[in-house]
Amino acid sequence: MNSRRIRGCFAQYLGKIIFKRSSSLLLTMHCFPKKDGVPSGQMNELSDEDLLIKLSEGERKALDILYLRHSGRVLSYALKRRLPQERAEDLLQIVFLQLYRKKHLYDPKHSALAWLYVITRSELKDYRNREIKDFLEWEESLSQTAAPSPNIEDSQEAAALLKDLKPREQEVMKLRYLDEMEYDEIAALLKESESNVRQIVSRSLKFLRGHKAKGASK
Amino acid sequence: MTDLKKDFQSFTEDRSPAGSSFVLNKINVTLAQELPSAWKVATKLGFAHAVGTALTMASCSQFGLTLFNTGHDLMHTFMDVSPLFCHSLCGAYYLALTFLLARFFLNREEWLVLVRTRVLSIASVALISLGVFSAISHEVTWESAVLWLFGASLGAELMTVSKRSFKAFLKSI
Repeated sequence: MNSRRIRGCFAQYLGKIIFKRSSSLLLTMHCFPKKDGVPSGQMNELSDEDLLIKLSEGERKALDILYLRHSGRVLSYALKRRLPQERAEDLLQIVFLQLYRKKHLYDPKHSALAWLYVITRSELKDYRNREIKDFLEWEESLSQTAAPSPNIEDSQEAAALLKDLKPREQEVMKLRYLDEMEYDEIAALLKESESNVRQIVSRSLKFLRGHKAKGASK
Repeated sequence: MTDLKKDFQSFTEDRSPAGSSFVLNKINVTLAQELPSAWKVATKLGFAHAVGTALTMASCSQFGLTLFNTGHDLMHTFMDVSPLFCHSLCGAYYLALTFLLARFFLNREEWLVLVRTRVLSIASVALISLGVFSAISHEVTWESAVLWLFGASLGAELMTVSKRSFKAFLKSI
């Protein structure tokens, strides 16, 4: 009977402690947003690192402030790397979109400016690569459609036209324009990748066009 | 390496004026389009709550309501801990499980939407559940309902609190 009473008292005491502790926990947790849910006016006073933390918590206003603080830097970086104004602004947009999309990857141990620099540098590199790829595809589409493709009728004429190319390039060009094979067929035949074959054709055409232009100017 | 350092230094030392507000508007429009809809988040939370309800009712009876009448469930253990706060513990277990499941069902952006409206989400889930329980069970009294709500809010709050806030709380103790 006595032990039951003690157990009961103990349970009551434990219950009171849990209530006290948990109510303070609940109150404290709702006090966190005091720092978390900073009014947008006060957000201007936060450091870049704090703004990135806010951003990782879904506070979109932080991105606006970061943009106002650092967009000039990013734009100037792109312009210094000889990107025209329009494309530099394009890159600026991409960088800040990525800053938002990768917000959860930011480690507060590192400086916010370093993080922005890393994103800017990597996005600039990607942007350049995309540009080159687009240009190559565009050039290739031209070589396949509008641009004057070499009109090779017989092997003698082909040999005369292609004599300045490397043997491998000659072989690919003959297969492409004399035998009228598709890229994938050539790739399978020569055991090369299709993109490699496309590049060889594109390079050879460029060379032949340049060669032809030089001949004409002479 | 030194080039990279110089490059970074020139980046940090740059004092050019901010870019155009037109670009900022474009960024905001793009991000607004990517934002998950509140309805999608609510539906997923509803699904998580349905699964959570099934799991809770199978392991811990709420106001005497249980899925399987096994005779012994978590409620009895909570009763042993504290007869007064057993309702709070049951509520905490119930909503903590719901929000834990929601964390798995929602992607990062959806979870952020939920966390940003957590007072509304927790209150609506807890009150709707309590309403259903009071309609079905006769064991719901003012006292037990308040205690249950307290526990449920605490459990849900614990599941939605960010790692950083939790660390700050631990430091403050």
